Amino acid sequence: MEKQNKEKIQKDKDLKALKQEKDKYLAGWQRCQADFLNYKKAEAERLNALVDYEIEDWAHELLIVIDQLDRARQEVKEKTSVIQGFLQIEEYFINFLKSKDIKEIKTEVGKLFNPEIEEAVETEEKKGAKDGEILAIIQKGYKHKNKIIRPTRVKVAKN
Amino acid sequence: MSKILGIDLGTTNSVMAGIIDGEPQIIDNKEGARITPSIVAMNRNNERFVGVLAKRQQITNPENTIFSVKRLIGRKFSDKEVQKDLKLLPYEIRESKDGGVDVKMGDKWYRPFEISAMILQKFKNDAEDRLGEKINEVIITCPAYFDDSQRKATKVAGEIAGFKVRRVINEPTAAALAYGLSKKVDQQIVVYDFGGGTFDISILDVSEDTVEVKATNGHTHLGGDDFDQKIIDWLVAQFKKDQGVDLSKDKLALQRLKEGAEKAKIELSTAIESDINLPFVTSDSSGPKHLTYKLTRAQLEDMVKEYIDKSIDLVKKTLKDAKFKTSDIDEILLVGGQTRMPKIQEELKNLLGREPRKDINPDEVVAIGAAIQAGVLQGDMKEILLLDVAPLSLGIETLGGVNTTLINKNTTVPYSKKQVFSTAGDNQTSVQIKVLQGERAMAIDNKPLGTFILDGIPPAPRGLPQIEVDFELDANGILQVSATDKGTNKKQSIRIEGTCGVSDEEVERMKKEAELHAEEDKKKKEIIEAKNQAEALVFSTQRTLIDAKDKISEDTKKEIEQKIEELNKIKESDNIEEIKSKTQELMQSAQKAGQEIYQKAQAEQKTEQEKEAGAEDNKEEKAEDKKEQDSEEGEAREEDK
Repeated sequence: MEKQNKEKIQKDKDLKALKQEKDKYLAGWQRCQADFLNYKKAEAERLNALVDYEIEDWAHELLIVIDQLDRARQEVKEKTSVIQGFLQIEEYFINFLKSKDIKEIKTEVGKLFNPEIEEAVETEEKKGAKDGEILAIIQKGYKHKNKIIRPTRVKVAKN
Repeated sequence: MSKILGIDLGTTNSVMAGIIDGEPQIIDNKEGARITPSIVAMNRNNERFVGVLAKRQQITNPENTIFSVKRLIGRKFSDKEVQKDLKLLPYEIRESKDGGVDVKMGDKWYRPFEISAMILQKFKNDAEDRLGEKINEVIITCPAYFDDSQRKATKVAGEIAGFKVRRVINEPTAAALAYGLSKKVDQQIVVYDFGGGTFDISILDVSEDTVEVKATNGHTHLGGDDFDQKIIDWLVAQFKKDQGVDLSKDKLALQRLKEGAEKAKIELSTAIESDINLPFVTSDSSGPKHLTYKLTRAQLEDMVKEYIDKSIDLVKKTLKDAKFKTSDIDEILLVGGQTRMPKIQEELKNLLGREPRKDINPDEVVAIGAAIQAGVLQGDMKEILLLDVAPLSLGIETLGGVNTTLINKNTTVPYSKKQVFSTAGDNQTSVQIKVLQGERAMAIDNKPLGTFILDGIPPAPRGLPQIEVDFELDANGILQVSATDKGTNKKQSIRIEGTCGVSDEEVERMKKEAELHAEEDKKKKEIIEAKNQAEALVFSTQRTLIDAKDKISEDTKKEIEQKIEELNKIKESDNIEEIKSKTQELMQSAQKAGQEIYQKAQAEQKTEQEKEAGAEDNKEEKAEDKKEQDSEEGEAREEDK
């Protein structure tokens, strides 16, 4: 009788231990599943961010070409049809960038300089101008979605 | 437990990193950049800017824009370095009451650690935004030469920013941590740190539980920016000589020269020469002028030779200080963007006789190391559950002795994979499943793990039976392979133990061999594939000839038969081009036959209506299906006993 009791106690003990173990493993497994799903979500986000990085990286290079075309345009005195064609190439590039969600930053001469979207590259004392007023746009700025790829470079009044 | 941030608080730029999903990762700032300029500014309206915003407004407000404050932190006003920097920094600096340094920004005087605190605070806010949780603790790095008061000041900066500063660790130590070198006992490591504005060299000695800085030296005003300046000077001189215009007087042109010079310098780390191309760089009475020059790597190396030599001399001096010989050094670690220059790596290799380590981004390696230290403190980096991977690919042998892989190497286990195969011959009643381990394309070159036979497959045309092969690799590396005939549900399996027990050397050897033979294997595999395709086509065309013999003209039949014969002949050779072209020819003839069958069927349809025509269509479809199956599906190798 006593032996049977002992055996029963031992069995109950074993059963309890096994149950505990089972619960522990089940919890671990569920956690693992959840971790994996969360990881997948995080990975998808990271992948999107990576694509954006890549776009910004090559856009940066392309913008240099557009700057130079822009500069060339300012030097054009007479619009021959060949030059007209070249200027259309610039437009092609700009439209291409637009299709990739890369847009020019709107900076206006006469407004106050804002380092969130603009970078001061030159200052000038100018009568009649407010301190910090934008006097000229030196180089256009661009953003991709909401991120600044390159701020507008401006000349700022310093009085 | 909340996250601990690792911050590389640099003289010109700072970087932050943390442990995310168990891995050390750089954390972007609010502006979406990995690197933040160590600059703080205050405008006239008492608005404070930190990082890139401060940099963008710098020129409008130089007297209230504080940069390089790390040069002043924790120092006495009377220090030689401070006296020197006093002349170079455009903002106001004075002696504080306790003999330290004060800097002026706006109308207020600040201690340098207060300025550093503003940078750290930005990091705290940006990281909390990015990660969506509160971050209260931090590990900050500092140069190895920082004394107690400089370290104390760095710690105070962190505390002002709202952090509990867990540690202030040495930058070279962080670099060693990033490379996982703190675990290897008895190592001497050279850390060569060439940043934007400073150069540091340290020698570390790793023992049982400490990383000791044996010696450190440096140059506080030597960095990558000096290299850029050399290129700019050269461009200005060339342009003056060629065009007679002095670009150094033109601020905007100078800005473009600076960008062009930096771009060329970066390009010359991977290319032998670089074009510096700046159209419309300036203009005079004669019209616009364009700048275009070629700079070669050799030219650049010549220009900056004095800087590189200086740095190498400092390495020698540091070795001497540490009482080490060049042969005592076990590792060389590169930190700072300028170390990407091949000449620097070459000089170091010449001096120390070994290849420098550069696999971690040198701009980020210190922050990564700080994050790893943070991970150790917060317990993230402990190996709680060690998951194994399959060291080599596992597969089975298929038609033509090809190794068809089911589980790729480096797959984390436990893992299982099922794939359906078919028979290779008509009325085949058994298949042999030969389990293979290895990377080679041909079955014979891989290690056979076991073989079993699934029999009792009902007689059927080739390609019809579906044999599902199931690979189950459990967490202990025990592989269970089973094959089931889906028609009869008959199943056979084999259990293979110790597939992960291949020794490391063996894995390495097999990997190397596979690489070596990859090309050769590819060719072999291609030939076999071409042969299989040829055979399948011959088979299906022959069947069409029998099935539809009344609907194909005699001419086409003859043509096909001739093509089959030709293909059969060439198929036994290893001439892949010939096999392919003959296969193509037969395919064209077979298509002709297909057309004829179709036309005939249509004609018959008109006269005899549905009954018979329906049957023909079915047949034709089947023939088509067969072809696709044959060419696309891998087929289990058949061994008729």
